[in-house]
Amino acid sequence: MVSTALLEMKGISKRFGGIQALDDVDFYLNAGEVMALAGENGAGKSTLIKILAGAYPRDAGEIWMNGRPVEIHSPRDAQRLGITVIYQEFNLTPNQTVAENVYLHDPQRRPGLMGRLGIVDHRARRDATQVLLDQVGSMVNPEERVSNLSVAHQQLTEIAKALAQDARIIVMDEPTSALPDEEVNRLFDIIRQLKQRGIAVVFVSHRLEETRQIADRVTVLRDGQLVGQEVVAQITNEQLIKMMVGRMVDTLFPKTETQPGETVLEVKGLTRKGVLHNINFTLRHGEILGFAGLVGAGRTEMSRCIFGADHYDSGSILLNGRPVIIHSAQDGVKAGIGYVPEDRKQQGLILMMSVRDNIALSILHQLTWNGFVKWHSVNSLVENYVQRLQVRPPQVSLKAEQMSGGNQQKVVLAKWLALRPKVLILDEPTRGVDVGAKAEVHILIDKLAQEGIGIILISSELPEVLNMSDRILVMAEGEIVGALSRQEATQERVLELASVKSMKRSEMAGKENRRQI
Amino acid sequence: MIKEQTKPGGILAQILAVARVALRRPEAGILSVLLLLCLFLSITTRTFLTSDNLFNIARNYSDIAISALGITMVLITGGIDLSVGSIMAFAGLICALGLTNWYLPVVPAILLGVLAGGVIGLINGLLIQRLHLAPFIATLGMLGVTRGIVVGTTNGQIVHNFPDAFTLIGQGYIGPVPIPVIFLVVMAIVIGLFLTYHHWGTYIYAIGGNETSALLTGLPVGSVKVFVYIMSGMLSGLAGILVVSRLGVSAPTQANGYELNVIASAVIGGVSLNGGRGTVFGAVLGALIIGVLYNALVQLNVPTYWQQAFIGGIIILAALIDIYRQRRS
Repeated sequence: MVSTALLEMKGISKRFGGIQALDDVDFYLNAGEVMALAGENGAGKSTLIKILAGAYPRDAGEIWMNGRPVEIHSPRDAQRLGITVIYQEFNLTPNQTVAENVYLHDPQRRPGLMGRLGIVDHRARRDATQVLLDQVGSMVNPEERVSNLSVAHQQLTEIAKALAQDARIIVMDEPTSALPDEEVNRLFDIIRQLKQRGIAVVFVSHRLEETRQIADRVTVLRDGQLVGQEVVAQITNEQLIKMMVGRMVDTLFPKTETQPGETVLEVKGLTRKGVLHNINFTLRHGEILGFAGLVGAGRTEMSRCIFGADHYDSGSILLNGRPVIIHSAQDGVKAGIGYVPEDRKQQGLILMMSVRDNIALSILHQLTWNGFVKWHSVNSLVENYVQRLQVRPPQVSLKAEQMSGGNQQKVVLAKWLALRPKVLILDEPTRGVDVGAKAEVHILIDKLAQEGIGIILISSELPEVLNMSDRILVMAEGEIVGALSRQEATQERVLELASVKSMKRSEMAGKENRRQI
Repeated sequence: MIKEQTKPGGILAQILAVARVALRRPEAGILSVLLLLCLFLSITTRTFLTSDNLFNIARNYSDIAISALGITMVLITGGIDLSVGSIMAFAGLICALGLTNWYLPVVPAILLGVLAGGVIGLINGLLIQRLHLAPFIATLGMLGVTRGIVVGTTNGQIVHNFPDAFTLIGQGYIGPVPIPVIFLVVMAIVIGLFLTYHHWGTYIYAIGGNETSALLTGLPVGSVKVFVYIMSGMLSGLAGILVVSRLGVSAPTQANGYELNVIASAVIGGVSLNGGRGTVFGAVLGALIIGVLYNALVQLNVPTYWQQAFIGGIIILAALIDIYRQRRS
């Protein structure tokens, strides 16, 4: 029988040291379909993608395309076969223009001798790039530097680059994790267009709703093994989660109804020119205050100002009713504010240090005798938090980089809990955390609130904000544009508030223009 | 009977376990290279394995090693200090002037020299931390400025005629051990203990590992960074004073280009130029390797003009071993 699949990966195995990352995995893909690749962190998704992309050599297995065996030994081989991978962190050279990036693989030489000498035809490259940008619906100038583009436009540039390479298979590794909701919909439109052109898309995401929305089929991996391939429409979310984690997980958010106590944090008129305008709110002991809004609404900027990582121009911050002066993160920590940043690898952890050192870092100076660390106190403290937060594996001498995403996040949380903060700011606490660990992080957040910590929860996943928070503040363009109680808050309400502001702005701009005329 | 049979096995297993742990230490590779080198030289030459020769090497390279202790801290934070050679000359000169022109007693003169080194380090630190200059640029500039001050104030002349009490420090022995080596051992232990047991030691590694995370954890990143440059300046100052004492002269060109030997010692000893990794023990071993190598080239009658090429090759080799070791882990 002649195989009709565009891509077949048969019996793929890969071992890293003592860990069997992939064990006899089969994967097939038809032209013009969207295949979701699902599984917890460490299930082997990235390894499979990287073998397909030629970034890792495989230990065993075969790769067939259109019924013929192919050899992929390098990213160049994969590219020649029309396989493109768009990684989460992108593969663009930020200091070059969009056009230079889109045609990095083939810089559109001039015809004739000049071309043979390597002289580039800038105009041809720009025009060709323009055509591709139009196809993916990007409005940016091909001559714009990539570093000036938003994340969403960098992603579109990556897709244009894939098209320039005549990709037949485009793999997208968590393409939506850094995108605001309205950009996600645009991305899905583009994926549907790619589908119609017969391009196969492999879509990796932790978000089930998205998988359901865009994918035709789903391949589930667990612990390096293939669990199954299913048609998305024929499977429930619960079944899918069970396939991924191997057990039933309570996907309901574990929010306990609590009576928040006295006000712990009061922010008055916080302003940072061009970024934040007159932010006012209060946070009470034991309260989870959710901040919703589109990406770029100023939520991260606000939390950085409160914590002291960035300066602000005017306004005041009161802790337990007393004004505090916070000029640096050091001041913020001293005042009793903890900050779990959105990017735990770049900002939250010191990856090459041990779990113990990472957890102890925030309070190391308190556990000293004349400046010299009492390591036995540190050890018992760290062991305590590792147990309480169920950090796995519970070996504190492991380096942070050896832990999975969810457990890395627990380490960051442990670091701040050790400080016994009054206020804890959580910026995207479950980004890139797999389903099982996500539920654990949610339970933990709930527990911390019960212990009386005031929690600021920033998340771009609306269900998370809506279900975990006692109150929700909606931000847009650096301002708080709405406050909703837990009961009032719905996805529609929040999205309306978050986007209505920009509509008003453009209306006003329109009026002003008319007045000028 | 059974006890007696299992016991030696148990001890052997324990020794093997300890050895296995020791071998996994980053310094294991460098230590074995050093031992192999020494073994090779002991067999091929008759003069290498004499206590005179060994202590000579240790004395001649203890200044490089002491300076390497300081630069190790700088490198671990992810910085670099190119001015250490100039600081050696500067501190040496200040100490020498203190002894000859200002008639200071030996100990205050030495402290003044060390302090002078610390001041240059402080300037480095402030340029980097307050004015946000790249460490490479700031310390490259200070390399020139400091050397220029030395040459300018002396008009290129040497300073000499020191009291015997001073030259004894560089040239004398306690028992069979040269005094500079004792300085090195004491300083290495102090700095080693500091990095391991003081909380600022952990901060130094944390800053080199990820400065943004360290900042967002509320660590005193600025103060720690200035501190490591001051330490590098003071230790290089001490090293420079030992050079003056050993040679009995402070010359304006003294320690010219030493920064390369100092940085090479640290890097050969496994200190990462990207920050976050490295130990004092490694840096001292690195300095010893350079010392033994220079000595070996002399013993094996390699012309002086070729020595630099060999040292350069060893640096590349050490860096390759380091990459290989990291990739394996």
